[in-house]
Amino acid sequence: MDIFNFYLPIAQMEFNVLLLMSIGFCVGVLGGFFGVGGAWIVTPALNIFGFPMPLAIGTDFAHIFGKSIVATKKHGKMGNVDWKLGLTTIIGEIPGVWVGAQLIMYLDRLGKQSGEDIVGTVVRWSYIIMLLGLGSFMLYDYFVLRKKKEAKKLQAATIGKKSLIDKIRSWKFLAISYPKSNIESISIVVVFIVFFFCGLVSGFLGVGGGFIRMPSLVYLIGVPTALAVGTDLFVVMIDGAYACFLYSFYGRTELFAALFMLVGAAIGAQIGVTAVKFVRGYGIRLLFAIMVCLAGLSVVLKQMESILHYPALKAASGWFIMGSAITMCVIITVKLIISARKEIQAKKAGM
Amino acid sequence: MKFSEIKSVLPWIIILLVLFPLSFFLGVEKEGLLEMHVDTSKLEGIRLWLTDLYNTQRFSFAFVVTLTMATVGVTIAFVTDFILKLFGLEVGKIQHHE
Repeated sequence: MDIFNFYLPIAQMEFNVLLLMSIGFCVGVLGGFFGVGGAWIVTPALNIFGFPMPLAIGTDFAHIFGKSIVATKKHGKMGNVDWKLGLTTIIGEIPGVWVGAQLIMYLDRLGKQSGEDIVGTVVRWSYIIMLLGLGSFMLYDYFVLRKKKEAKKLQAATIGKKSLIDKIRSWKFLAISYPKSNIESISIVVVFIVFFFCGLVSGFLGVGGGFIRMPSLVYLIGVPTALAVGTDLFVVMIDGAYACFLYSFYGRTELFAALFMLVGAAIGAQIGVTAVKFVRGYGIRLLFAIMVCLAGLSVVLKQMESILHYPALKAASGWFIMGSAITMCVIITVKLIISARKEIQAKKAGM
Repeated sequence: MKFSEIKSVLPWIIILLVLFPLSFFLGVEKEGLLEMHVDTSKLEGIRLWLTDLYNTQRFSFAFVVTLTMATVGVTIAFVTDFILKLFGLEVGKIQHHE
């Protein structure tokens, strides 16, 4: 396998090209299938395989930027992008990304002064809390809340009570309208606060932020789901361009690694996007929740390694994240093949 | 995308586009971020050129990285579109169902 090793000049290390393309491919399949960037797999994976955390984040951003161009073009063609809303979110997103990046640089400096990996530790703990929290909530939502929701919806409609979200949406200070998303008016201050937070998470963790922005667009701003997916990817593209430039300027981007991952991701995304046609929404959510929990557990292993200084845990963490991603890709591909075969057989029977 | 759709948010966007690139330079020198250097003794060809750029002109390095990712992204987007069309596999509007 040594023939596939490539010397990465900025990271100053040998890295297997097939491994980089596999990471990209898995993220492409998962991203295309779940409608998120999947950077929460890339940053920990690069870090686990030897990239320092700031370099992993910067490289991830460069890869996210390239990949989101491919996805935005596709969604734009399908009419799934609210351009006006997407551009407005920049008001909050860009300052958020900048603050997030400054926090990373600050922690990096602190770590260099004290000789400890402070930025790695803080970012890994943030990942653990966020991934395990989000994954657990989604599993709870799937197994418990889903059944209760319909009943609650009916109850709320009968009483006519205004929820907190309704109150936020009805605030008219500096109101702006988004006709394409059927939003008559919403305060630009609300838009700023929501997307500043999304940008902050994005800049700090080195992620596109889709897993936070998507629910925000749908539940807080009130955008229809299909438009939220496309608009989210458009915002990821803008954030990605800014963050890619910012991290490159700070010297934390490995261009060659990002390019290899982008090629893998472009191939994987075609499989992921096509599979969405054949799997029901709640099935997608369950698989997504499992994958998020598995990614969280792999970061737990990595964090344990940095505390206990037991090298086997580092390898275990690396294989755990890659194994989980590959298993999930296989499940998605198998589901795609089975469903496609069924559809072909049904068509033949119809003829 | 219609111009009328985005006209109301344009002033905000212009302010941001002017102000935030300036943020790159705030405090960068004193933090020593631009003094980070990479060893180029083992390198040749495009890797040597890129690393030299990294060591000497960080702004140009950032510009090259961003432009390269954009160009490769756009190229892949068009190539995959073309290939999918060729095989009749173009993904159209997705029907969402729970």
